[in-house]
Amino acid sequence: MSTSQAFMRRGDTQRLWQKYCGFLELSLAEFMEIQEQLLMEQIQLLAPTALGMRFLPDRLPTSAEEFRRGVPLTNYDDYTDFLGERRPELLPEEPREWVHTSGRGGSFKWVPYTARAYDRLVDSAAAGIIIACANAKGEVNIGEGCRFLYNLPSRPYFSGMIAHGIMEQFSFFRMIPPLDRSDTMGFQERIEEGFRMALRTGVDVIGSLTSVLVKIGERFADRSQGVSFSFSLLHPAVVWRIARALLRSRLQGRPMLPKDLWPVRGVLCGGTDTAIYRDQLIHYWGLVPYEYYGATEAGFIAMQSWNRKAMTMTPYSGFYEFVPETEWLKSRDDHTYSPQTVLLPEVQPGQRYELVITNFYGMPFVRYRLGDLIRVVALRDEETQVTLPQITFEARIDDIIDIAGFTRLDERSVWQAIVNSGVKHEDWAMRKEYVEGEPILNVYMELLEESPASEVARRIHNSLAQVDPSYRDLDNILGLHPMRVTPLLPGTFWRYLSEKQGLGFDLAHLKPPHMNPTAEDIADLLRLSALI
Amino acid sequence: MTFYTLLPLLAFAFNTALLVLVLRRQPKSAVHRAFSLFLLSMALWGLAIFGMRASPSLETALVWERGALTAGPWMGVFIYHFSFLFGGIRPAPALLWGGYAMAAGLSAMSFSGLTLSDMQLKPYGYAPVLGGLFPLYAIGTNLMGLGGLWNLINTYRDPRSTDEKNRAAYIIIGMAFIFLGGISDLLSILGISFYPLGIMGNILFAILTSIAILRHRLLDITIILRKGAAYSVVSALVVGVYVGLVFLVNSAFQSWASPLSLLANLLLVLIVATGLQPALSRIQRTVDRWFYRERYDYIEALARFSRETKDTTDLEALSSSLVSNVTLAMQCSQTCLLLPLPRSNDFALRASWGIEDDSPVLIRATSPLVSWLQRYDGVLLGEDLDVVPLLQAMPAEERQALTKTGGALIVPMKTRSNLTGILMLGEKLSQQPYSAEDIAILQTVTQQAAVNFENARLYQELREQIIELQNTRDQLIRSEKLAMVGKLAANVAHEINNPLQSILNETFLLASTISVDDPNKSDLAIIESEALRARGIVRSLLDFARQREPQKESLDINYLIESLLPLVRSYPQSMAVELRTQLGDGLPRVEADPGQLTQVLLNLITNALDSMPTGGRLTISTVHLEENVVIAVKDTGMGIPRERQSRIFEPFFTTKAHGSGLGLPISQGIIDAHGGDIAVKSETGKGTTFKITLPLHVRARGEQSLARGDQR
Repeated sequence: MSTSQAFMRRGDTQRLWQKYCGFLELSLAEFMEIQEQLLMEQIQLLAPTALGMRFLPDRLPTSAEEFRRGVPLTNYDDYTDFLGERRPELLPEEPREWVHTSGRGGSFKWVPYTARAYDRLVDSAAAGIIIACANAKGEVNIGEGCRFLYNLPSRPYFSGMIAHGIMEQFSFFRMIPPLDRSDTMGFQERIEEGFRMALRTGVDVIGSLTSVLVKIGERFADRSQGVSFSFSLLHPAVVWRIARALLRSRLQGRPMLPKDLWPVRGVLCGGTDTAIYRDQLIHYWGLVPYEYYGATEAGFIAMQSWNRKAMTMTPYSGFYEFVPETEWLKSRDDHTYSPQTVLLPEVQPGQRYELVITNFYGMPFVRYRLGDLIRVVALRDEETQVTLPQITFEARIDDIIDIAGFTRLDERSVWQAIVNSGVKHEDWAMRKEYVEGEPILNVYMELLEESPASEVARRIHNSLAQVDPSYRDLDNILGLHPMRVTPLLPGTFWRYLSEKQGLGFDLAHLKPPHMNPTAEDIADLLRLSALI
Repeated sequence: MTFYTLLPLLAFAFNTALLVLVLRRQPKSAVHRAFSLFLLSMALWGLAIFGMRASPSLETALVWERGALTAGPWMGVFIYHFSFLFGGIRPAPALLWGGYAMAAGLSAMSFSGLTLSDMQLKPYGYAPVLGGLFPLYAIGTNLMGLGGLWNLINTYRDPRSTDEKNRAAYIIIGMAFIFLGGISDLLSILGISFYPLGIMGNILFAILTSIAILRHRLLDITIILRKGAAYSVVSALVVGVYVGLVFLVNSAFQSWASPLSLLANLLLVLIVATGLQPALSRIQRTVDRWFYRERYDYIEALARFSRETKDTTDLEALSSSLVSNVTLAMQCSQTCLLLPLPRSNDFALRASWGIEDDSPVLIRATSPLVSWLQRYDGVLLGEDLDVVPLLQAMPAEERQALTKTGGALIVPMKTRSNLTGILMLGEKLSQQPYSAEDIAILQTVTQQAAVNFENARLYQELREQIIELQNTRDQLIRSEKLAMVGKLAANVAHEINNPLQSILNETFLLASTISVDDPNKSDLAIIESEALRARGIVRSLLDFARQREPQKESLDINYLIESLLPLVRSYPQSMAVELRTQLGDGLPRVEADPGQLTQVLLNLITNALDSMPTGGRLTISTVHLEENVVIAVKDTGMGIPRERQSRIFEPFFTTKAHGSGLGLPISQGIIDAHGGDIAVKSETGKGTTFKITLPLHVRARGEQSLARGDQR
């Protein structure tokens, strides 16, 4: 029986909270003490390995400062010969599990997890679940028989590994659908089966991609789609659940929504669109979605507090360094330039940083550029009394489009602008193109309304100007109107997905990226649209 | 209103108060909710019984009694449900919902005459007249209660933390009170003359289980009983004495309301109140001795430790005394004492009890554990290592080291904010958790021990400093002496070298002029050989005087030794000697002068061979020890007498008939110049071992001489 289960069983929620969420009470000095302690241990673990010999200097660093001075910044290409072929003999210990992240252009990034890293990852996931269900400090609203609807990809994706870890640590949880069944299902099938089961069992916590929850909510809101009859709906528990939901919605004089069927305690959302669809999620699911920031190569990096505002970094997942935006830009323009980094006590509120991580617990990545931009929004959170810097995830560096040198658009801003514009659409992809030497932003969009492309472009332009002040300056200062829309016929994205599925593409590559899709992606979309 | 009537009201008040407490503590916990429902049903049952007992007529009593019977089955099903949640057992839904259905049925049945047909008057008050289906009611209600008890016993047996076991034990004992009370109720209902104690059983259960849930870690059952026994005896004594005295006073003054009597009573109250505190302590100790002899002895053992070690400055004695006394006092499976190492301040195992694994236990000075213990007061429970955020960063190897120490309780030894030691205790042999009292005793003992250890450490440090000072002084004297000898030797050598050369030249000339048969020929040969020997000594003197800086290069010591072996085997003295090598695998290379090291090794080997004229064994071994390479040259020769061992590195001191007495001083000089150390260990008649320690990384010279403290 795990320690957490023992705490849970004896109702010792105070210790349970401290074990998982205690990091929120650390001072900045204590946070750095933990970071340095684990970094020094990691150096010792890596030193005798092939990876250590590649990256660590002959004289091993004895402090974080020496480490930063003596070890170069790395990216995944520096590890491909080790990790691409999954060679465990080059690592400090046999990995417990290999997982992969999507990567771009159809190539995966394989990441080995050691047993300790796996345990730590699961602890962080547990912290996320506990805080997601809490409304105040120390509140533990999970317990025996807690029903967890899990709508995230299975192993060997990172999210699948977490699901298994959670069930090992909290065996009293009830995973919906059960992992032994869902592991063999396709993603779509799994989601459908999950909600079907949830109708009977009910749900306490949801872990899901934001887009899935939004889609489900939209289906409820759009009653024209109706509900297909199934004999499973005749189950007494389902009838009782639907009757109660109907009563709730009728009493409030509105159509039935997911929150009427499933009054949940916490909703953990993954994806950059969580903030964009925040209001819809609250409307459909009845509570503020809980955001966390994780990466396959690093584990859980940061998570929100119980007030569900900015995120606090977890000290155990990796040693964090921050490349200031100016330094990042220099290194982007000059690949030979090695940017300077700062540590958490040196970050400034309002500034953006590229995140650099060094794994702990014998994991492989050393001063690894994750390719993520984060923003430090405050140095502490007065509301929750968390005294650590507060961050938000800004963008993947690959997803940033630079226009006119001073406007850098990221996926979240563009997505928010498209949603705010009210343009009815299925999906979109945007990239920078040149027309007669002038840069334009071309949005390839599957429209669900009949509006001229120029009108749609105008609405998105106006909306983006509201969301992103630097974009507004394009118009104000340079008089630029770079937004263009190339309409795609309804069904294009679905056909794209079907085609890729047919070709055996993995889940992560069934859709083109929103930002900076490749020329082949765009050609495929245009070809498929033309076929309709 | 009699005690009989008031008792259920007391039960109602108790249960209601506990209900509020339990709900306030964790209103959303399923376990607490289930327990609250159980308390609610108990409270309602108590209220109904009170109503029944206070009823003016049999008719009213009947209505209240039916109310009480209605609550009964719910008590059963709620405790049944609670036992599942408490034990983390997943119930079969049918079983649980079946239980609820049965409780509802039995409850409903209570309103008919089938369970309770009427009331009757007994000597102690009203009593029910049972209906025909009462056995069914009793079986149904008790079946669920027994089901709950069964689950709780399984929870108790299930291997889990001692904390949980203890808590389950409370509830099981509490339920035993209920069943005993229920049996007494049943006996009285069945007409057997027995006072109905059911309500008392319920009160006891509520108290015990609620304490277990609310304050488990702070209390254990032995303390409750011990304190209870002590207070009962004290109360009985005080009340007895007081009542007796009052009786006497009142008898003397005829009327207790007279002013004199009132004054006397007031005085009595003051006397009794003043005497209460010392009496309480004395009686507490007496109760300890009577009922808890073992425990009393343990506490005494700790007190003994305090007395025994108060003035001890011997760290070894202190450590073993602390560990053995604590183990005895706490009756724990393992006890470890970790003390800081002199230079690094890392905490290493100094004394232990009950640990079979002899691998080292080392907690670094930079460990989060040390940092936490230095920063915060109080003890750590083993599970805190997984809970406290700072401690979650403890390195894996330290965690592993701690697991073998048992690690159920970690007690810091601190003087002011200085951590002087860490005491680690394994689980108690009784499998009970450490009580608050245990922890308080340990803290008191370790607080005192910390002062003792600090004093001992300071004393030892002082002693070491004195020894080091003496060594440094001796070193300085020796260096000065050596320098003077060197200077003298250089002058002497210079003065002697020329005449010696003349003697040799003249001897050679003389030898060439006389015939081979000349009787003086052998005398000339003696002159020549003695002159050559004198020249050898002079050269040694010059070598000694002009010791040059080593020309260091990366050197494989094993290779150097192996390359010397053919030369050594060619020595005539080696004929009768068995030559062995034990060269360590993977020996790191050292920075050293190969020529000088060869000189040292040959010198030691020659000495060894000379000490074994009738044969023996010479072993040359190498090993990698921490940051050093160690070379040992060991012989099985005659050995060096103890009184001479301290002089062998002095120039011109020799035990050989024809030795110059310069080989070892020169060797020492060379090893010193390499930042190393040369030491001897010898036993007369058994042999001698010379150990050369060469550092992998050479420190500054000043540091080297201070770091050396062993016997040369």
